[in-house]
Amino acid sequence: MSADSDLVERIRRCELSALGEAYELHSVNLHGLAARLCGGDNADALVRDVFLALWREPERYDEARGTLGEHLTRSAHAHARRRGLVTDDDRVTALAARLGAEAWAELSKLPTPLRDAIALASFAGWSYGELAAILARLDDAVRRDLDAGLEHLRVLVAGPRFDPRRPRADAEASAGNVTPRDVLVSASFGRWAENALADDVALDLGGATLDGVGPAAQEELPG
Amino acid sequence: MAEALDVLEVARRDIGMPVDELWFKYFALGGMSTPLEIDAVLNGALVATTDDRDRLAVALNERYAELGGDHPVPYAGDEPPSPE
Repeated sequence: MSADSDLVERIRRCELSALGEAYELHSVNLHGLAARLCGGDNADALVRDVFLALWREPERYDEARGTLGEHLTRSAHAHARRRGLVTDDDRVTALAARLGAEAWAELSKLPTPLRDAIALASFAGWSYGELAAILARLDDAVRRDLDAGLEHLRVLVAGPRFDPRRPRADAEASAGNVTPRDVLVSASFGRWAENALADDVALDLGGATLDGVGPAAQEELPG
Repeated sequence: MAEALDVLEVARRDIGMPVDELWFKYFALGGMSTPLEIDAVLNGALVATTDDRDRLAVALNERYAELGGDHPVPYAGDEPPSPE
C-alpha cells in the first residue's frame, strides 16, 4: 500500500490526525492552484471544500488514478466548477490575457483537443499527470496532445521545420518568410510555454520558438 | 520559571480536546493554518491573528456548550474582566 493510500485509509477510519497530515502536505500547493483557478478571495473556501470532501468521502480517492495530490487537484477543479467560481469563459479570458492578443489568436487556430490541453497546462501549470487526471485521459495521450499542439503552433507561426533533404534554396526561402511579427509571437508563446510547463513537464519544444531565425533576430527579442 | 499557558491551551486541556480535533473545528470555521501551526499557537511559539484566535475560541466554547457549560474562552472583542 502506498503512503497516499495509507493516509487515506486512516482518514477513512476517521483519524483527524491523518487529515491534518494531508493538509500539511498538500494545502500550500492546493491553495496556489485555487488562487489561480478562482482568485485569492475564493481560494480559502475552495481549499476548505476540497479537504472537507476528502474527510467526508475518502473512498473517492482511487490509487489507480494517481497520487493523492492529483486527486485533490481534480477535486479542486470540480469544486470550483460546482461553485461557479470558474467557468470555461474565465479560463479563456485568463489565458488570453496571459498570452497576449497575437499569441492567443494563434492558439485559437488549434484543433480543440490540442488547444484544451495547452490551455489547461497554461492556466494552472499542471503536470502531465494532473492534466490526465482532470481530462480523464492517459498521461501519454495528454503528452501527445501537448506536444502536437505546440508543434502545430510552431508551424502556424514559423512555418515547417527545416528539412535537410529539401533543397537549400527552399529552406532559406522558408526561413525568409518568417516575419518579425511571427518571431515575436513565437518567442512570446515559447517563453510562456517554458514558464508554464518547465517545473513538472519535460517538454521538448524542439527549438520551436525560434526555428528559422538567426541569432541577430533572437538578440532583438524583448525579455 | 515556567511560562503561563495561553488561555486557549488552558481551555483545551480543561475539556480534554485533542489538538487535531480543535484544528478540524477551527478549519471548518474558516481557519487556514495547519495543525502544526495551531499546535505552535497553543504552545506560545506562534502568535495567531485575531480572527484565528476567535475561531479557536469558538471551537472551544462550542465544546464547553456541548458539555453543558458556559462560554468561558474570551473573544478578541470581549472586555477584560474588571477588578472587583
